[in-house]
Amino acid sequence: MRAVLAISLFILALPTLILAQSDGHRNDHPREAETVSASGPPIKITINPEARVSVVLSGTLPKPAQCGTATDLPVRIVNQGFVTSRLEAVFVGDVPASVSLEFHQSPLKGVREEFRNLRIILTKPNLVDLTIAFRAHNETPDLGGRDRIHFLMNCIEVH
Amino acid sequence: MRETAKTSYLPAEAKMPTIGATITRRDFLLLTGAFVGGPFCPALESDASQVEPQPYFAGINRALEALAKLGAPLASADAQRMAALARQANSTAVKEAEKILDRYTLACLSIDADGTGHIAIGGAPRTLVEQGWRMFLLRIANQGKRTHNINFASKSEGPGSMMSSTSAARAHMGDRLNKGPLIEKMWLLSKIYEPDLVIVGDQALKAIQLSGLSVEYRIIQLFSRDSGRRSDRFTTYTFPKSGGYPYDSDHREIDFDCLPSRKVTFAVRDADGRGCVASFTVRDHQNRVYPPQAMRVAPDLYFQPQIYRADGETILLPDGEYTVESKRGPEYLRGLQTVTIDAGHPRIEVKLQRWIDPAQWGWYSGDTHIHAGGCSHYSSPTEGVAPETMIRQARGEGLAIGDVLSWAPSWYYQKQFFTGRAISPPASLEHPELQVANDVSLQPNPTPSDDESLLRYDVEVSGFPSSHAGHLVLLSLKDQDYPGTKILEDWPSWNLPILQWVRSQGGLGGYAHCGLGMVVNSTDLPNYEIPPMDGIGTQEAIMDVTHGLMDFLSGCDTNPVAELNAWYHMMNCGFRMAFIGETDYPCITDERMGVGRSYVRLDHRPFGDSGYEAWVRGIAQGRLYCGDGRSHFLDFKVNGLHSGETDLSLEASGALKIQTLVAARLETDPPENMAATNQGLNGWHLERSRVGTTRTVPVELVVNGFAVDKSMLVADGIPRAIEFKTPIVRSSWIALRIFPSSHTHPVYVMIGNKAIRASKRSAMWCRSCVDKVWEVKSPFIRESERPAATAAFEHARRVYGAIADECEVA
Repeated sequence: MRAVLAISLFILALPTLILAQSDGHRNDHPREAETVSASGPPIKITINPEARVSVVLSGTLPKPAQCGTATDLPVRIVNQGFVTSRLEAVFVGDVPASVSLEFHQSPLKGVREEFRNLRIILTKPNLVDLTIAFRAHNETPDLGGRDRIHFLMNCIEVH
Repeated sequence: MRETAKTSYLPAEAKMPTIGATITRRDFLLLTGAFVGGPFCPALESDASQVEPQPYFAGINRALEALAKLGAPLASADAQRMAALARQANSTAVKEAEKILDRYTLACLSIDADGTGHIAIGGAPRTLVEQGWRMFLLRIANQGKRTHNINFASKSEGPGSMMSSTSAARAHMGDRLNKGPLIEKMWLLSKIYEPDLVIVGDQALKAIQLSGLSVEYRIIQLFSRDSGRRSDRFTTYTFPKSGGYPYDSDHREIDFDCLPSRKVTFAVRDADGRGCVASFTVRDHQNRVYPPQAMRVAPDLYFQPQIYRADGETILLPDGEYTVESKRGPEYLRGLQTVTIDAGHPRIEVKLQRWIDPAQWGWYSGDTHIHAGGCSHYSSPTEGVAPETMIRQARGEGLAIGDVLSWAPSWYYQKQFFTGRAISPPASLEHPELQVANDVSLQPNPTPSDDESLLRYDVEVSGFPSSHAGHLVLLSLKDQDYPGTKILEDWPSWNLPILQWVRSQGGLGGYAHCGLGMVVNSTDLPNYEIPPMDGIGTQEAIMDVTHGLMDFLSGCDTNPVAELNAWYHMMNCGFRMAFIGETDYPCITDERMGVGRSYVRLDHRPFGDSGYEAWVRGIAQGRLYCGDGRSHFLDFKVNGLHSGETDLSLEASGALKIQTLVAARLETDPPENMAATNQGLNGWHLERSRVGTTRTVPVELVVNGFAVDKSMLVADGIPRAIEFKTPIVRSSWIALRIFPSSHTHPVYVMIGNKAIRASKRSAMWCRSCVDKVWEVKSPFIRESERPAATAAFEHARRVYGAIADECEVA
């Protein structure tokens, strides 16, 4: 009975598996290969064996929070380089003083997968375009600009 | 060739001259819409007040950075003004920015409230290049601040973009007896730079996902097959919010003037008059790079502005004026000339000039850490590039030796090139059919100096189970697969067994980018802070060296203090290993190979496999200096003895005479942008040795890790003799350095036949490092290997403890 159930489940899942495989082969550009999904952490970071950090937006961003309140963006870290230094996040370019970020200060554990939160606080309701770069402490940044993501954010003013 | 300016040799950091763009009658007609019916992009004045400056300029900055990366930057005056406007960031700045950007904009899309797009013509001169790519901005006005997907593409975009109406795999041109008319129309290819992907059904379609900003810019790249005046229909597509395939919401015929391209021949002469390969960066008056980086096929690599061409090889260029920068590694002066290409002048003549030739003193350069796959290399259609491309770059950088290391990304593809021997592939293309497909028609041309550059395929243990402990560079392997392994995951989870296996087959093993994980707060050299050991540099090396299995540390590409500190401490304990130069190309930098180099002293130039073996044995024997190639220790003797020869044996303490012939070359003035040179303080660079704004650099005498004397050297490229005298009271190692540009291997001085025990503090530092490495790295060692690793680390603790006890100096 169990075997029949397993086979049935496999047959049901087969189209999904085939589709996932064919999608994987269709696009070879790393940026293009990441499609936005509605679920899962919105930020995916990959640290390659040379400790270079690349990052993509891979999910939906949370809805705007109240101004002055932190918005937590879950981050999935795939660590292929056993890196145990601190992973740092910094704004790139001009960012209004009303925007700040917080990211974990504790070092990475070096394990294959970790989850963390990137916390962003907006104190004014203006729409802002944020570019955030990630790098492992004292490591060389990615050469192709793949270490950064950008997105728009705003907050809801409370009267 | 007609030169409009005499060839000049300029500082590497000098700014490229910008030649002001002149508006021709043709440009004027194009700008004023004589070839199209309009309408043109509307003025922004009415919209500007609705544009929020911060997100507007943030998005534009990204677009402009991408344009520059693609080799199509804004004219420098416009770029400077845009930077100032971005800082200003108000509605006045937005209005002025729009006027500037219009000069680079092919089309303006305006999105209606219902999501329908409309096309208007932008103000950029619609000039394309036959068989080349041009980049334009695409302006999207989105007053409704919608966030759906659109696309914008030419009609004759080509087979890649066509959607088949059936599921059959077949040519999209359909069943026609005469396909000629269809092919004739396919003259233009359009690509949105870094498109978003939208899943429709089971297909991933390229699209522009609107951000919701009222105005945003994207980049569109256009490739023209033909020359002459051509037009094509451009369409804006709207993706229904409810899903399904996009529909044509507007289209417009756009005319172009496609400049004919000409095959231009490089005539390249080395300093000795022979033909050779060199590096060339070709730019037009707007600083656009040729061939465009947007679409390159090996041997031209997209991540570098330069190309490598041999004497007699060609480039396709439309007629016009160009600046041509020529280089061949750091031993040459940078050449810069302006050339005008037309029917009567289809040649670029280059006579390279050296400022130094270390081979005259018997020194031959090599880069022991370059990759043909991974990092900046593309992963499709092949996993990186082949030896034919790598050797072209080695020749063009004047390298005698290039060690091409296969590593985890691309391992199973690249390892096919391992032969266990050095090779010097003939001038050829790795995939000539792709060059033909790209219609570049590059015909490789051999030169008399081709066999002076060698490649050796070996291994970097990176992305392997033991990589956490530091990346090993394995040289001169006979076998590249660890015994009993079939896949990478089978390899040991710590490095010592790998080093044992390397030694058993006569190879050399050492640690790559050795400064990683070794950075501390102190910038003193030496210093005694215990590094975090959280990276992929020297880490396990400090244990391995006590087992006599570590041949070198490899650096010049990371923090120089972090690199040298561990080397100094280990040598103070009496251990001997080389310090060699590497680039880790194209990972730590993709600028070029040979950024970090080792110079090995040989009796004659290395040729063939025996030449490589002599070179790599020279590393093991210590007949070398390393650095950035901007300074050179052409001769270095202690009491008449060179490094790599026998130890200098003295019966008792006394005075040493240290003699060197040393040359360095800085430009007369410091570069304008020193911040770029100093960025992150990683890598070695002679500019950081410059004393103030002078043209001098200090040459330092290093005894047991301490700089005990120094002499100022004028860095004008002329070799100068320098002599030091220093007393010595115990067995020591003596070296010279220009920090951080070059470093000699030490001469070992043995007094009374006693081993070097230069510093108890160094021994204790090493002992503490063993503990720290174990603390940080041992969790990644497999349980099955842990007992052996435990014993090996315990051995190291005992060795350092014993050395500390033997040291006379605290």
